[in-house]
Amino acid sequence: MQRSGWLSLVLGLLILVAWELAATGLKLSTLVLPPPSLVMAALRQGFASGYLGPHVLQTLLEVVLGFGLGSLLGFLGGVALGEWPGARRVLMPYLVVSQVVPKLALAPLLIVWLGFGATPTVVITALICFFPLLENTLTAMQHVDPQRLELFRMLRASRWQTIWRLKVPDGKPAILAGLRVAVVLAWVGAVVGEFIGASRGLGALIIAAQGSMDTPLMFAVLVVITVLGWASYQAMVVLERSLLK
Amino acid sequence: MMKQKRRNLLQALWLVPLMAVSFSASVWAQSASKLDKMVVAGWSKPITEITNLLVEEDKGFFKARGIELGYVPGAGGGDALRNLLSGQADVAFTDPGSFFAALDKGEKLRAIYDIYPQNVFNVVSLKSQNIRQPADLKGKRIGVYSLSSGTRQNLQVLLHQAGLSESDVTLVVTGLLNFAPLMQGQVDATAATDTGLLIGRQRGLGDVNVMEVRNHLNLSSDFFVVREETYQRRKEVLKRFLQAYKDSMTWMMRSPEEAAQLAVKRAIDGQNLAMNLDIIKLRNASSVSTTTQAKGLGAFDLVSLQKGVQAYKAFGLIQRDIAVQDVVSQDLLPAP
Repeated sequence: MQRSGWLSLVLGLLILVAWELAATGLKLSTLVLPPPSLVMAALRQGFASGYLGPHVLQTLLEVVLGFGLGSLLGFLGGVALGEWPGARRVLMPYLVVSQVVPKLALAPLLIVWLGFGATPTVVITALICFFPLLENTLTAMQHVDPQRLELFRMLRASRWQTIWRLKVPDGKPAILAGLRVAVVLAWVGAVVGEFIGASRGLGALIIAAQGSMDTPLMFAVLVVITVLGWASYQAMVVLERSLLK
Repeated sequence: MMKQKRRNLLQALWLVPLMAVSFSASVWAQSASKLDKMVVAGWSKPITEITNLLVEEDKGFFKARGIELGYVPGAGGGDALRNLLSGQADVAFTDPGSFFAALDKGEKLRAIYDIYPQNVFNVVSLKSQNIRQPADLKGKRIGVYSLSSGTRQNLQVLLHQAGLSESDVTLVVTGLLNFAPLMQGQVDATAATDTGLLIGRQRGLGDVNVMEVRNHLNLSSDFFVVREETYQRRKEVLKRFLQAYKDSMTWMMRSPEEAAQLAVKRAIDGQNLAMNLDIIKLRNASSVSTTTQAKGLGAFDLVSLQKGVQAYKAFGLIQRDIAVQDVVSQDLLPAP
């Protein structure tokens, strides 16, 4: 591990120790701020009893489906809007509006429209993941090296060939950066979606823990989400490195 | 020739178990199709309070009455009614405030079973605040779960009984962790439910004064509500549904320990067995009243309901008069 990595780890440990000391020293109620030791105990018990497992799997499924769907549509949309400026001028305002509308407010209606179960959460996750991919792919499509573009024209390359042999490969760094952002937002989307109409999943568990004022459990769920979100981000970093070699 | 006959015989023998399997499958399919699907739109996620609805797989109360039970979660009584009105559910488990508000907006609904005839709401304050009666709330900061929650509506009921209104206090939206701001002194009092207070006490709330709304107006906490069309067209199925619900509630009252045990497996918040038992006992207690003792579980107290309508109209939750006898039906209730 590099020096900065060690420093980061030490900083994290210091924060945890300070948190533990503050929570126990100030005799704060666990309802207000549980010490990390209690959060870890709740986490351990949650996994050991099999209570957390099904919820983790449910959210993971929604994240994978929502991220996959949103990223695919965002990428295809970005390519299409990059290629057809007319469509971009007509559709872009609506796409921006679709992102500005708070998804949490729409969630109850999405349940009414799409029914219960994982579908509304997957749709909310996809809606959130869609935009970073769209925006980054669109930017990549518009910023191609003019000289290479001219070369493709001279070689009479078709539009299809220009997209897949020049624009997408050249735009990989921007597109992969969009994927990195999207995978983190996917966790936000899935958890927020589960706040409203889900009986299972980490978001549903946060609401249930709040309802029963089980703050240590709530923090334990937040830890699980953080670890999974961080792991999925790191997976994207690894993917990016391997594709940009 | 003999070989051919033997082959035919073997083929016929093969067919016997196959036919038996397909026959029993068709019988099973027919018996399964006889079940009438009823989906309940809840106000909450599948929590311990409603254990009797969550144990269908274990106890089969509804199946025994020919009902295939479904449950869709919600975030409040308004959510439950929205899911009912959108056709996602057949029955809503909702509160009187949401029910009256929907009627006020012209929806055709009918309440058919009084789930909790006791008002389970209260206003909790630290002893040091010396808040003992509704009039003491004047000028205070009071926490509510959310602006669309039953805690706010029942706080309004309480204030109304003391001749006060919301403008006489400062409302603070605290979310579900409503006792934390009270303990921190960020609010002077907080509106809560009986189960909320129970959990708060177990989490170290300390000495508090509690004003129970039922001592001022004992308005029911939750009903089963259906669309008028469902009420008119599916009376026989609804009767069976209510009978099954009553069976499940009677079981939960007689066997709270077993219910608490099953809640560990079935309820999303049911990890703590002892707390499950306390919550179930509270809900059992709020399911009975002097009216239900006389007329059986699920019976409505129309007089207190009408008083509730008047209170809601007085503080502006509803605009027009609602005659409760027109929107509440007791003809589907199980025999006492």
